[in-house]
Amino acid sequence: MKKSILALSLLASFALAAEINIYSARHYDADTQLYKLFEEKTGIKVNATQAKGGELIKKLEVEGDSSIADLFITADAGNFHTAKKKGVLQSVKSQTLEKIVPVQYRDAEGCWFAISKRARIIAYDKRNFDPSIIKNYEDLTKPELKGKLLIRSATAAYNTSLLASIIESQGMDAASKWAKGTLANLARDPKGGDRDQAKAIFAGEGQVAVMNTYYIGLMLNSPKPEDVEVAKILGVIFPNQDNRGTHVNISGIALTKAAKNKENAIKFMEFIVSPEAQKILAGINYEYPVNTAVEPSDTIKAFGKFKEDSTPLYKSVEKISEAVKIFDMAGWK
Amino acid sequence: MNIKFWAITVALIILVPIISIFFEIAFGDYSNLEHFFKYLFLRYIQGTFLVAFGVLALSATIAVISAWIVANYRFPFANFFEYALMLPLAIPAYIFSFCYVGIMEFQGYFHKIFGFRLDFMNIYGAIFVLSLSLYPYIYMFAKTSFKTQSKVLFDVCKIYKLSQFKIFKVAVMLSRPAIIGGAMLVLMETLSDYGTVAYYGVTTFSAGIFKLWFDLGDSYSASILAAMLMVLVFVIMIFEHINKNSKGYSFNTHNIAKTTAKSELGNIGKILAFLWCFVIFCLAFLFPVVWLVYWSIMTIQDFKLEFITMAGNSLLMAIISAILITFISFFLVFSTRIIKNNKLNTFLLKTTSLGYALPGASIGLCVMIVFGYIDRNFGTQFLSASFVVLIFGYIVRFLATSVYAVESGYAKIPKNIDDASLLLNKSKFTLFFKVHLPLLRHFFFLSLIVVFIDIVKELPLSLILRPLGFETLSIRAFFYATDERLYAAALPSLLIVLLSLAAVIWLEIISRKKA
Repeated sequence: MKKSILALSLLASFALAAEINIYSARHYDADTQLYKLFEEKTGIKVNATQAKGGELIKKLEVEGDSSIADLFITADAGNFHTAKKKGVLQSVKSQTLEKIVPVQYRDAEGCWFAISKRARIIAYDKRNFDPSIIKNYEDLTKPELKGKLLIRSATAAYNTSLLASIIESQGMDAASKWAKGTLANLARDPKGGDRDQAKAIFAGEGQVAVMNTYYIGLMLNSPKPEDVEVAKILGVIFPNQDNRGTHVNISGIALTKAAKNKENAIKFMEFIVSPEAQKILAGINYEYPVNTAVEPSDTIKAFGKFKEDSTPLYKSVEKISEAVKIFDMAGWK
Repeated sequence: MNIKFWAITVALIILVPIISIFFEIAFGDYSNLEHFFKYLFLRYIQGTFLVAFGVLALSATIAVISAWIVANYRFPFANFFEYALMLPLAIPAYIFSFCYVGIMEFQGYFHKIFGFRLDFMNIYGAIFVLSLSLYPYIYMFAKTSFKTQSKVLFDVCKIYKLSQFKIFKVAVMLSRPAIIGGAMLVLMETLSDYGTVAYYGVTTFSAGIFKLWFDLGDSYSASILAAMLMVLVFVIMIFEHINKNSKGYSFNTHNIAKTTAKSELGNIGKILAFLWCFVIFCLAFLFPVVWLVYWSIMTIQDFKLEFITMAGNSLLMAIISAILITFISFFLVFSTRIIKNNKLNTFLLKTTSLGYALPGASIGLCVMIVFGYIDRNFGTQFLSASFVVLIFGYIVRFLATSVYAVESGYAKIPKNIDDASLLLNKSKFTLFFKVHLPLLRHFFFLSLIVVFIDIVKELPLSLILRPLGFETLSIRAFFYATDERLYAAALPSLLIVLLSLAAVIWLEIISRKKA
C-alpha cells in the first residue's frame, strides 16, 4: 500500500512536471480540442499562446535559448522556411512522422512537418461560366477572362506560395508573365479575404476566383444562410491535373531550437498526425488531413479527388521572396 | 532628488524601446529596401497621405460641430447625445471595418433596403470607417474644452453682438490646444492602423512595414520604415508644439467654475441639431452595434465560459495600465510646468508620445528586443512569463493619449497660478495636489477613460507580448475575424464594446458625483 501511494505521488509529481509550451499561429477550436485530448491521453500539460506567424518567429529569434517554447505551429510553408533560415528550429528524427507525412509536405532535414493541407483551387460561377476554358493556373492569363477574375491581395501567403510554386516549376519569366497576365484580367483591385471573392462572384462582379477549398467548406456549413447560398453556386476546378498537379499549402509543426521538453514535444508532433487527431483537424476546419489513412470531411470529399503538386514544398518556398517581389513589380496590391 | 531628474529618468525608460528600433536597423541587411523604394514607396506614401488627410478632415468636422452643438444648445435628447456620441470609441476600428463590410456587402442590410450597393472596400471606405471610429477623441477633448470655456468671454462676444457662427469660430480658436490634441491622436491612430487598411486593400506606410516584416520576413527593413514614420510624426509634433506655444492660450480661463450656460434653439435649429447628432450616432454606433448584437444572438451557441475569463483579463490589464499611464503622464506634464525649459520639455512630452504613431506590432517588436536582451543576459524570463512586459508595452504605446488629455487641460490653467502658489512657499507637491488636480479633475477622468478603452481594444501588443496562455477578448475577436469567421467574432467584439461602455458610464458617474 505504502509503495503504491509512493508510486502514485511520484507519478503525480511527474505528471505535474510534464508539460509542453506551444507558440501557435493557428487559433482554431479544433486545435484547443487537440490540446485537451493530448493532455487526457498522456498527462502532459499543454500551454499555448497565439500570434501571427511572423511575430512568433521574431519572438523565438529575440528570446534565443531562453525561450520557453517547445513547439512552433503555423500555417503556410513559407513561414517555416523563414523560421528555419533564422535558426530557431531544430530537426526531428521520427519514424512515425516520416512514415505518415509525405515527402513533399515536410522539410528535407526534418525541421518541420505538415499537419494539414489546403488546396488553392479555382472557383467559378456555376450559373453562367463555362469551366472548360480553365485547365491550369496558367490559363488565368487568357484574354477571354478579362474583367472576370477575382483574387485577394498579394500579401496573402496563399498567393505568394502559389506564385513561388510557379517559379519553381516554370521559372522566373513565366511567373512574371503570370503575375502580369492575371492582374490584367482582374475584375477589381485585389482586396478582402477568400470569402469576399466568393461573395463577389455571387454579386456578379466577376466569374472566376482563386480560393482555398476550406473556405468553401466553411461557407457551405456556415450559420448564415446567405453564405451557404453563395457557396452553392461555386464550381471547383482543380488546376494542372494533366501536369504538375494542384498547388497545396500546409499548416505544420516544428520543434524549436530552445525546446526544453523535447521528448514530450516530439510525442505531441506524433500525436497530431495520428488518425485520431487528424480526424478532428479535418472534421472541424474542412482542411485536408495529411495522414492518408484519414478521409477528409464529407463536404470536402464532394469536391472530388485530385492530383497534388508533387514538387516538395521546401523547394518552392525558397522562392517566396522572389514571388513577393514579382507581384510588386507587376503592380499587384 | 529633484523633479527634473525623475522626469528625465522616466522619459528615458520609456524611450529605450523606441530608440532600440535604430539599433535593430544597425544590424540588418538591406537587400529588400531597394526593392521597396523602387516599386512601392511612392504608392505607400500616397496612400498614407490620402488616408491621413481624409480621416483628419472628416473626423474633425464631425467632432467639432457635434461637440459645439451638445455643449451649447438645448434640443431634444441633447443630454443623451452628449454621452452617446462618445460611444463609438468603444468599438475597435478593425471591428468597425468588419461590421461595415457586413452591412454593405451584397445581400447586406444596405443592399436589402436600398436595392443597390456601394463599393465599400476601398480608400473611401477606409476613411469613412476610421473617421467614425476615431472622431470621439477630438469630440471628447473639444467638448470638455467648450464646456469649461470662460463665460466672461462669451459675455464679451454677446456685447459685441457677434453672430453664433462668429462665436463658434472664437470658441474653436480658443479650444485649439484641445482640438489639435485630439486631432494628433486621430492622426497617430490612423498612421498606426493596420487592420482596416489591410482589409480594405489600402496601401499605407504601416501596411508597408508589415509587408517587409511578414511577406519578406525582413524585420530589419521594416524597422527602417517604422523609424521613418516616427521621424515624420516627431516633426509634426514639434511643429504643433511650437505653434501652440506661440499663442498665449492660458488667458482664456480665469473663471473655470463659471461654465457657459446652454442656450435655447429655434424649432428648425432644434430639428437640425437633433438630426445631425442622430445621423452621426446611427452611423458611428447604432448600426455596427445592432449588427454585432444580431450576430451575437445568431452565434450564441458558441458562447464559451472562457470569454468571461478573457473579459476579466482585458479588464484587469486595462485598469492597471490606465492608472499607471495617467499617473506617469500627470507627472511628466506637471514636471514640464515646473522645469520651464522649452527644449527639455519638448523632449519629455513629445518623444515619450512617439509610441502612439507606430503600429502596435512595431512597438511590440521594440519592447521584445529590449526585454529579450535583458532575458538573455540576466537569466530572467520577462518575455514569456510575465505581465511586466505587456504593461510596459502599453505604457510606451498609450502614454500619448494620456499626455494629450492632460496637456489640453493644463493649457487652461494660467501659469501665474503656479507662480503665486510657489511664491507663497507652498511645495510643488501642494501645488499639484491642492491646486492643479482639482482644476484638472475632468481631464484626469478623460485620460483614464481614453486609455482604458484604448487598452481594452488593443490588439497587436497584447498579441505579441502577453505571457503564455493569457488571452484577451480582442485577441479572440481578431483571430475569428482574420479567419473570415466574422459572425463568430461578433460575440467577443460585442463584449469588448460592452466593457468599454461600462467604463465610460462608470467614470462619467464618478466624475459627476464629485463635480
